[in-house]
This record gives sequence, C-alpha cells and structure tokens, in this order.
Amino acid sequence: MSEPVAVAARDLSMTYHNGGADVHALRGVTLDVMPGEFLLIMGPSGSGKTTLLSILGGILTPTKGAVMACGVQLTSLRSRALARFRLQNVGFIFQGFNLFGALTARENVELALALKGAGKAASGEQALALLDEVGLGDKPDRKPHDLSAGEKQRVAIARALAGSPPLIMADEPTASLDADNGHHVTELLRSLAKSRGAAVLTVTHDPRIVDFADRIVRIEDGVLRT
Amino acid sequence: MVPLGRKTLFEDLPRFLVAQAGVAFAVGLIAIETGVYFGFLKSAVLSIQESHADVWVAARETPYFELAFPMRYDSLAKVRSVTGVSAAEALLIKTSVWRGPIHKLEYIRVFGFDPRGELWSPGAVPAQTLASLSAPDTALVDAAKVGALNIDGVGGAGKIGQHDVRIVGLVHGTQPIISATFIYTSLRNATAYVAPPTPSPAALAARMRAAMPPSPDPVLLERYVAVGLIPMPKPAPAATAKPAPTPTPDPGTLGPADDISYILVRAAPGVDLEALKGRLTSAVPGTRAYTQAEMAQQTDSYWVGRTGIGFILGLIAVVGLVVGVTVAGQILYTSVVEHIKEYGTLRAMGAPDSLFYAVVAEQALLMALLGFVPGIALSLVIAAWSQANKGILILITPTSALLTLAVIAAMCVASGIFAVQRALRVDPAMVFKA
Repeated sequence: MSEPVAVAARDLSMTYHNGGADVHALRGVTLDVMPGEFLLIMGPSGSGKTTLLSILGGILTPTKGAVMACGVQLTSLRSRALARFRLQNVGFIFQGFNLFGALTARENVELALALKGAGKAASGEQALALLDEVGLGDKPDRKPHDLSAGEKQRVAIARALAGSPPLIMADEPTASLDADNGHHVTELLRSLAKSRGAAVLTVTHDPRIVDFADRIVRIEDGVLRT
Repeated sequence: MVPLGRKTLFEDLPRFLVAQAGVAFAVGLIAIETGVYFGFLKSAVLSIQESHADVWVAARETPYFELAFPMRYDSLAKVRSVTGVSAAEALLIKTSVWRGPIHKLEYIRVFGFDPRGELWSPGAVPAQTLASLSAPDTALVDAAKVGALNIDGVGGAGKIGQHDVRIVGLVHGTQPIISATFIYTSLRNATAYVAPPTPSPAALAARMRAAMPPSPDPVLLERYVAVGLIPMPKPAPAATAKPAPTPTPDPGTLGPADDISYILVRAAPGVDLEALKGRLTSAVPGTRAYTQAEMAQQTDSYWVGRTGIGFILGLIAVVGLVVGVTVAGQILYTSVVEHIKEYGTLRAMGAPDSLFYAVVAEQALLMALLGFVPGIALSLVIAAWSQANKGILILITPTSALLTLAVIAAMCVASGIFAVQRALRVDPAMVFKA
C-alpha cells in the first residue's frame, strides 16, 4: 500500500488578469509532496513559485486543476472552508516574519494555538514548549522588536508549528537572515519535518539551503521542471 | 484568547494618545453642542420649571413665556376666589432698557413678582435679599449678567425708565442663553419701572397749551384737570430760576387695571388640575390655563418650532455628531490600515471573520471609553466655566453623558465595522510580499 501524499496537485494553472492582459502564473503544474518531506521550490522572481505555494496552502484557488491536501479537495472549497482548512492543517512562515508587534513571543504562539481551539492554560504551556523547541525558551516575554531577525523567524516557526499542522509553508524563510541564522533556521525546518512528519514546502532562491532539501523542484514561467 | 485588539491599540502609545485626543475631541464636540442645545431649551423654561405653581394662567394670546400678553391685576382676585385654588400670585414680565453708569444701554426683561410669595422666585434667593425688594428702586440680577449691566455687582446702579435702580442682590443660573438680561424685582417696582414716562406737570401743561387754541377755554382746561387727564398746571418757573429736579415717581401700588403677565396658582391638595384649569379660564375670560409641564412645553415648542434658533442649535448638534463619527471612524480605519499586514497574516492563518470583528470591536469600545473620560471631563469644565462666567447653560446631565458615551461607542463600533471590511477584504496572499 502506497504512503498517502500530504499534497497532490494536478494540472494547476493560474491566470491573472492584469490591465486587460492575461498573465499566466502557472501552467499545468503537477506535484506530489510526501509527509516528512522537506521540499524546496526554486525559481527566479516572477516564475510563479509563491503562487504555487499559495495554492498548495489553500490561500489561492487555481484557475484550473485540482489540489488534494491532507485528504481534502481544496479546489472544491469555498473561502470560509478554505480558511478552516488552513487553520487546522497549515502553518505559514513568511520572509518578513509577520509577527504581531504588540504581542510577546509567547503571545504570538498562544494566539495561533487559541485560534486552533486550545484553552488558555493549555495554549500558554504549549507556547512555551514550542518556543523551547525552537531555542527561545528563555525569551518568551520579548516582543518582536526586542528580538534579532533570526530569533523572530524562530518565533514564526514556533507559531507555524502551533497545533502540529501536517503542512508547513515557508516563503523565503532565510531571505532576511544572515548566513548563520539562515543555516540554523533551515536546519530547524528540516529537523521539524522529520521529527513531526510534516511536509515542509519552502519557496526560496537561497542556494545556502539547497543541501538540506529532500527534493528540489524548479519553476520557470509557471512551468515546473523537476 | 490573547487580547490582540487591546495590545495592538496600546502598542504605540504616542499614536494611541493622539488618536484618543481625536476621540476626546469628538466626545467634547457632541457633549458641548448637544449641551448648548438642551441648555438653551432648559434655560428658556427654567423659570417655569422652578416655580411652585401647579397651574399658570395667561392671556389667551400669549405665545411663550417671555412674550406674555397683559392681563388686569384684578384677575388675581378672581382667581383666588376659584374653588380649588390654595394660593395665587401675580407675575409681571415686561421689556425695558437699562441705562448703565456710563449710559450704556442694555435690553432687559423686568420680572415683577411677590417677594413674600411662595410660588415664584428667581432661583434660591435668601429671604433677606427678597425682603429688600420691597423697598422702591431695587432689583436683583443674575451674577452672569453683571457685566452686561456695566456694574460691579451688588450696589451697582442704573436707570430703568424714570427710576434709578440699585442692584441689591445677585441670583445664579437663571439667565436664558439668548434672552435679554433678566432683572427681578417686586411687582410694585416692576410696574413702576416699565410704566410709560410721566412728563413733568410743567411739560404737560406746555404740551397742552401748544395743542390748544391760542386762547384755551379755561372751562375745558379745568375739566381736563378735574378728570385727571392732565395734572394741575403749575406756574412756569422764572426764566432765570434753576430748573427743579425731576422727582422720582412713586412706584405706587398696583391698581385693578394694572398689567400683569401671569397668575401662578397652587391647587388645593387633591384637586383635579384639568377641572381646575377649566374653572380658572371660566373665571377669567380671555385666558388660558396651563399646567407647569404644558407651560414649559409651550415655550419649548415656540423656540424649537417657531424660531430658527432651535433648528440652528439642533443642526450644530447634528454637525457635532457627524464630525465626531468622522473623526472616530477615520482613526479606527487608519489603525486597521496601518496593521493591514497583521490582519492579512490572520487571514492567511485561517482566522475566522468573527475574530476580526472581535479585535476591532474591542479597539472601538476601548477607544470610546478612554476617549470619553477626558472628553466629558473637559466638557464639564467648559460647561461650569461657561455657566459661571457667561451665564450660558451647557446642559450635561448624567443621562446625557451616558447617551454621549453610547453614541460615541456606537459610532466607534460602526466605524470599526466599516474598517474591518478593509481587513476582511485583504488578500491573504499579500502576506507573501516581504
């Protein structure tokens, strides 16, 4: 019996209408990602890699094609159902961290846990545990502006791990980090993929993290080249 | 749940304080402008509402409190004889002019009342001060209008009609916003102050001689004098003699035909006021009787419906409300736009719409409450100052303050709901843009 895929994309196309002209961001992309796999999606700017990540993560709906993620046919879901799917199944990591500046590191993680239904006491304990896991157990009460870029990204990773989602979508997670921090963050993402069995899909054009990937797919002009 | 709305609101304290200043301004605008409107209406009927009369009897044509048509003084006796009347007092309201110490003129309304009476007085006045009104040429004025009369206070003097009137006491909080300055005195004094000027006998005789044929019929002249049409002419003073000073007319007593404006009635215990009103108007033809509430309502309606003042003040109050809504709305909308990336992140994470509403509603209510406190405090200070120094009543009651809070909270929440649409429309894919 074959292992169930975390994400299965079939013949994805995405066309934007921009000023009367059609822009084909994706053309017939087909891709499977397995649980525990650390997948890199690489390509030049404007190649369609972020669009692909958005579709696989249930943020965008493709113009054509189908996505099955965690056993759910995403392309048949409406906006609210997609939001529920993301909340329960996807953790996001962003290039700009996108932490809530008014909240401490712990509160940032607690918020994600609370959104997923954790109680106040439980979310507090789990947030501390997650921060400990990413190496920030000693700085739970720091606000983002008191943390380094690497630390911020680790908070973002802890937040993405809240509720143990089976899918982690990372968009240029090392782009804002120096070599050391980039290395640490990538290592962390890979180890989390392995230890938690989560599929980690990472969009990047950072060559420093290529060696960590289980698999690399390249995309150019909306076409996937494996 | 982490209090995201509150924490985000307080994150940037200087910005928050500036925003709160905006909300406080909106609160102040609403509280003061509605306060001016209701203060104006309240001050216009204060003299009615603070009376102890159950029923007011007025000439049928009287349109509102200050513009009273005259009734005869002997109507008072008729009213007192009506069954169910426990007490009745007369009130006179007439317009005149105050000539201040440096001949500065001030348009005034002279109120004549019974200083020993129980049914009407200009606010809480000490008995001793009221008693001093029994002396001729005395009056009280509202402390806020001392400047308007161009005097320093008690002891200040001016001229009303032919009388040198001395201010013997001050009252407080009785002066309507837009009325002429109110002067309070006894009924007898008021009648004298507003009586048409009486020419001196010499002047009258001269006027009569001028109007008569060159050789007036002495019999006719004698008849005029006999029926009181003209006083007894005195011999004209010698051309070289110093002119005699004009004597101060005697305030005299009210005669049956003297004018009064209202008869205030206290009903005997248990008397049906509607029935009493009917008996009163029957006893004094040409009059109407009002309960205190009806009297106040009549004056209210006059100002609101028959003059542009009520409309203008109402319009200003509405403008205050609109400006307040706009200010609060803009502040909240800006706050949402400034944190749009954070809202986008929440969208990407899959947060439900209810979370967005909860966050913005929390912010809106906090802004409303925290802006309300300084806003209403400042308004109360301004209202107190205005009342004490300008005699302008800005009516801010606990009820109106709570209503202002409710309005500001509602408009903050409404603005928040408007602003949250911006957050709900945000494309979650935007979070991937660094």
